[in-house]
Amino acid sequence: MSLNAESVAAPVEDSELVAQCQHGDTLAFNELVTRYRNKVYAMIYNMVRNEQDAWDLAQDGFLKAWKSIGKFRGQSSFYTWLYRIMMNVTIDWVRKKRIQGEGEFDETLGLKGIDPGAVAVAKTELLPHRKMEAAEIRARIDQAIEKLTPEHRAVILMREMDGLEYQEIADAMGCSIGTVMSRLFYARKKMQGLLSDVYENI
Amino acid sequence: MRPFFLAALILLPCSIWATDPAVWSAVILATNEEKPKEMPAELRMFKQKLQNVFGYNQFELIGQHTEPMDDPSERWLIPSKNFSVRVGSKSEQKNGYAMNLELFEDQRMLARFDAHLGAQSPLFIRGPMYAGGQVIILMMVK
Amino acid sequence: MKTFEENFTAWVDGTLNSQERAKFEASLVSLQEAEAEKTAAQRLGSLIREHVPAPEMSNADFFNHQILRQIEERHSAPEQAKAGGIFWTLPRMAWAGAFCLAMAGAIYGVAVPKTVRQAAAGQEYVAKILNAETDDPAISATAYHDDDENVTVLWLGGLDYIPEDRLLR
Repeated sequence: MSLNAESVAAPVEDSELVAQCQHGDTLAFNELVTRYRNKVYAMIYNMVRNEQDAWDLAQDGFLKAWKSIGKFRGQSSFYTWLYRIMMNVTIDWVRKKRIQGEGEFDETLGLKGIDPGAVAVAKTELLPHRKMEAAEIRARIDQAIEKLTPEHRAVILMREMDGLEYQEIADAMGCSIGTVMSRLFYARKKMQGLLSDVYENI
Repeated sequence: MRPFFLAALILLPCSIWATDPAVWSAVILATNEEKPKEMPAELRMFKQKLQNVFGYNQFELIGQHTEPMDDPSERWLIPSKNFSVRVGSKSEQKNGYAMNLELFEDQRMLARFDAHLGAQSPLFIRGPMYAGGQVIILMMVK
Repeated sequence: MKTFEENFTAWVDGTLNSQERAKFEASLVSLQEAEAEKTAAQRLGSLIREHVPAPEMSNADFFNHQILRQIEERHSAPEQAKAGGIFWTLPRMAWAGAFCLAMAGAIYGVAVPKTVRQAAAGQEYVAKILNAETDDPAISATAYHDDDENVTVLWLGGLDYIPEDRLLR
């Protein structure tokens, strides 16, 4: 999936809407919010794993985007630029949370936030015991993701969930491609270690 | 002097009654529905406010409770089985109360806060999400 | 010159060209072990894609509504590009601010009758949150007063949602 997938299909180009926003057109900004809110929300949700926080952080990110859209020069796509703002907001929040004493992982945390209905496999295809297993795998993945640093978390989710290219991730994170690849290496390694028993039991 | 004394005796119970308001609390489930149900009578006066602040179109009253604030001891507002508010201490203010409150979801304390509550403006508390909707706790001096 | 980590990641993701791939594979101590690592990394990717959901935002229209409302309340216009002449330079803003303050003070003192000022001091009582705190660091509490609606809101964030199979009562 490319970052530009949604904007290409859209009737009005992002760049046109951005130009309107730069003249203070809030309706154009509303259109951009509608275009990207779900993608942004899904990414933030998987970083913070709480609906309310994801909602609030996405709002905060969009407000920051509005505030600084006058400075957007179009060197990257609007979405990459927006993604960078969202990542900064989210990574800052995750860091603050850790400083506030959530650094150590609570075994129960991953399990209590799980919505059995949110398991990606269609409900009808699952036998009752399989459904439990899927929810359990989800919980283990959540726990493993939470053990990662915010930067590693962001990189692996952008790559594996959104299917972003290294360059797009680098733009969104404000770092080099080499750093992205290196972070991806360590994030994968850590998750593989944490999920080794899961691989054996699926 | 005597008529003044008699008048004071008559007015005393009235003044006590007049300064004994109660705090009304309610638990609401807000959702977005294609065909929203009609707003419960108790919530009608808040309809516009709730819609504008939380953005949902249907508001169901899960429970409500009115607790008189007639003595200084600890009080509990229990608008529903799942949500309750402990009123730790309170002091009377002009047109309302200053209160120390603790919001509980079952046994778990969600937040502790000092609030001024009055009769003219309600306090809305954004609670957890449930079934694609939002739990809202409402408090007001009646 | 790429580091081992960079090359390994590119190798797992299949982004090395044939020359780079051959060179990298030749540099490995054990190709067999590396292949096993690669398979594990690829399995991790499919595990994440299969089991980590992409949830849809609830109440999405209200999400937009709130953003627009906050924009209107707090930021009347985005920060414009620096290109072009800027009228509001810092000294001009400072002078304008001082002028406005002086004018406001003069108007208040001269034009607003004392009785109106007294009435304003005793205006209607609104709910207020003086301070709010939570024991759980996962929960945040923010209070604000919505002037349009004359309502005070205590906005709790980070609460776990109530599972749907539980009866709300």
